Amino acid sequence: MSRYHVDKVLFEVTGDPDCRRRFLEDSASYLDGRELEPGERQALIDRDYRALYISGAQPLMLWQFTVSVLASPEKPARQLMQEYLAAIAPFGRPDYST
Amino acid sequence: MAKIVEILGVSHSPYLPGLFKQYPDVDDGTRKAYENYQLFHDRMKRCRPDVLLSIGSDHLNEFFMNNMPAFMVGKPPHTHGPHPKEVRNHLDAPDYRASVDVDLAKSILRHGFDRGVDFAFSDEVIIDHSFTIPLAFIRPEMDLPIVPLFTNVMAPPVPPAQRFYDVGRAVRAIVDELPDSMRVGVIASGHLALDVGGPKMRQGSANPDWDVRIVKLIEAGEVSQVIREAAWDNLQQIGNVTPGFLNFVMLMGLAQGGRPSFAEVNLSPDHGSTPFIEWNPSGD
Repeated sequence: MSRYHVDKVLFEVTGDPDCRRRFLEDSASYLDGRELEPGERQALIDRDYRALYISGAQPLMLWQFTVSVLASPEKPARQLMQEYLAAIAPFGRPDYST
Repeated sequence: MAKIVEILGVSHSPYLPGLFKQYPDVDDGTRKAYENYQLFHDRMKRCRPDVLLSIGSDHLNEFFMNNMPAFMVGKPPHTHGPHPKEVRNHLDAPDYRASVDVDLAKSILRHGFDRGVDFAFSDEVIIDHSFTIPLAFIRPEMDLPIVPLFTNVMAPPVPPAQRFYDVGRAVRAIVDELPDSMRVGVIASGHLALDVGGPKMRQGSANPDWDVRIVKLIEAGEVSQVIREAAWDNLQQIGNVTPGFLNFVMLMGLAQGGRPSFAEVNLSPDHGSTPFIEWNPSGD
């Protein structure tokens, strides 16, 4: 488990416009060389917020990341929130300490 | 001798600035919150502070888990906010610029060691909306120096509630023993029941009943019970950013466990509940 390194990607993508651009253009390349478990790496590439939540990503940053990479005019944050909540609700509150 | 003349605890909900522009055409809770901020502005002004100790919690904007201070005193000559990350992400937080009372910041650091608190410090730090929103509402004149005191409530392990209380007591003792005649006002912001990214996420409070009950406990001066309620696991179950409540526990320590002179919580469907808690040690 490399929770810290997952959080670091969330921190970069939500905080730095250049990081966000590079992540959106080629997520696999962006993640190369990082200390991520294969499942974590794939979850980031797939924008799989459910898997990231279960593995203990920092929830505030995970939600900011989800909005940053998945919200769109067709799916605004408010609508995205309903899907996000439905996906994570069964999993309670995973430990997210690093 | 220096003295703490006023202690205020409030919300920093980023929904408030936009809603307040629509005042009085807002829901009852928001209307009352607007009026309570005006009240707190007036009360702080009446106490004639020379400097504001501003207590807030960075929302993983300026700090990250590569170097996370539990309690940190900012001491650059000047600071400002909100954080550029918040601006880029369209968070609605007012601009605030202030000089920093570096001498007071250093005094808190130095005397902290004597009182068992090893504060971290920074000579280059930006204040995020947890500072700018309360400062902009309570001291919009931007005419006073501040000392920003950052607390970690976002990245566990977070200090336990008892530690927040004890650090508050230590800061009170440090200021009370300074030889200067300065008058120090304290403004802290934090969260009540709030969930961002967790299963109870919504625009409003994650648990309005808890909000009302916990503010009543503060009003009653029930320090031990508040500290028990503010255990990390309990706060997490209520909402993942509810540990922002710990800043109010620190205020109870700053007030030396005394009962507040004013305590109210305004509920609204449009934002987290807004607490307004005041201690008035100066009696002004």
